[in-house]
Amino acid sequence: MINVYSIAKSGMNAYQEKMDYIANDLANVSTTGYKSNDIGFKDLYTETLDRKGTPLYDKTAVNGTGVRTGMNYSKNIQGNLLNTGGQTEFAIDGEGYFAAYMGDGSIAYTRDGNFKVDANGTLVDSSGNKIVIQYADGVSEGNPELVSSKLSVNQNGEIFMKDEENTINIGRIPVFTAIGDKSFLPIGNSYFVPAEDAQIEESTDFDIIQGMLEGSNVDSTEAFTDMITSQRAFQMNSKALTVADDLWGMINSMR
Amino acid sequence: MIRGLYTSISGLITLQHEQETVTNNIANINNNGYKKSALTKKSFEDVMLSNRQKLVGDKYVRNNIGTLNLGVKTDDVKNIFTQGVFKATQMQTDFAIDGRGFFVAQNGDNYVYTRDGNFKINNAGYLITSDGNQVLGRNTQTNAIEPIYIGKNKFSLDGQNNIDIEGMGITDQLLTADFEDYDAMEFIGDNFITSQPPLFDADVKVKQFVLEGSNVNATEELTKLMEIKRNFETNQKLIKMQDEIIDKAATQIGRV
Repeated sequence: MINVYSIAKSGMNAYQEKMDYIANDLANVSTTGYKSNDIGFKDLYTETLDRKGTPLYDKTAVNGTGVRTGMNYSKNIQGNLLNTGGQTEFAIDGEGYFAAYMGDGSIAYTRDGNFKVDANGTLVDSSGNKIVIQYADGVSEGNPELVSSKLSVNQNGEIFMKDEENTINIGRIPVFTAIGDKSFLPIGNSYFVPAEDAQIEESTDFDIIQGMLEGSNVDSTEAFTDMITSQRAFQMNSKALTVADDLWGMINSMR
Repeated sequence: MIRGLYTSISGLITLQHEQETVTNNIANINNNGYKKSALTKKSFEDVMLSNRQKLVGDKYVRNNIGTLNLGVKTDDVKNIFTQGVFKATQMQTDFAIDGRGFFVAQNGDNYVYTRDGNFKINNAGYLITSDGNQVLGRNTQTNAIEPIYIGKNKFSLDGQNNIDIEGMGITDQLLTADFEDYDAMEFIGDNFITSQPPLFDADVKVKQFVLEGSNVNATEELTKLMEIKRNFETNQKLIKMQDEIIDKAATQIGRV
């Protein structure tokens, strides 16, 4: 009897958690480079009905004890490319992430290509962290200072800057990738860090597109449908909890 | 009189178990590949009632009055293997089985079986269940059962369940299993089942870019829930009534 509360509770918890993920997806429906969540469910262990005083014919009969949410994965699906026309805005069409130096010197990865040129003439992301660039010979960070209106970037990520008459090759924006659906873990601010066992390598299957941003890959229709089914499932579980409570109430009122 | 109390109580206990079964179905209503379970009941074996009030000659002999049934018990909890609904997805690692059969995954040294085809690729490049157990395939060259290496590549599934990896060709066939006796299956949690012996050569139809939802029917389960509640109420009422009768017998008839 006590267990029937916990079965319904496990269901309510699981659907509540699912709702949290859906809400997060919907909140990020227009976040540049956002990857939506993919979260499934797992059933719990079974328990035998063969207890003392239980009238039971088949002694092997078992009941399930509820449900839990499974592991969360990011859906690695391409987001829509949105035309912005910005000289320092880039979208990755294909596999991979840009890399940026964090304040503590570590490297984080992002699909958000909304870059700017800062006061020192270096390319930074929207949080002001420097983008990893493989500079060409004779060029280094801030030398020459980048000017956003003169930049052009080709599909391989090679940066060129018009300098009066000449066009200088500044270097290349590398794009990194790794095998596995859990190789990059989101840490907030559109950044990802590699998992411990992830083998980071340079991606070959991508195009960098200047003047575009990658929209969020949240499918709002799917998110809303999921929201409705999760909410209904939550409701049904709470109904089951109420019935369990009613049964217990009846037992208590027997005498 | 006392007998009647126990009959009603057997009903209460059995209904509690049925309530657990139904609640578990409801909890798993959005669980991919979940198969609903149903609790079946059966009555106790009939017992013969007799007394010794019949006089034959100068002896009282056994006199059969008739049979009586002393209540209900749980027969078994059976899983119902009807097809769940298909949901289309955009992920190449999502699979669903149409009809009989199971996917095979490695759990420690054992094979475990599942209908939940929400697979992923781990950081070593192998196909895994969403909890990290390797999904097994059969090498098309050597026929050996092995984990399936996908890497970063795109792949597609052909009519024979072969995994055709872009740039590598067909290396493995997705291993599937079927069982003779679906009743003997043991549910071990995490959407896995075990059973013996697996039939690896059975014809199993697998679809890619699709997930199979649970086969739980919301209307059916909620109706059952209401039914259980009212049934429980009836049994509980009967216990109260019998208690009142015993009360009368003890306090009113007993009064001199």
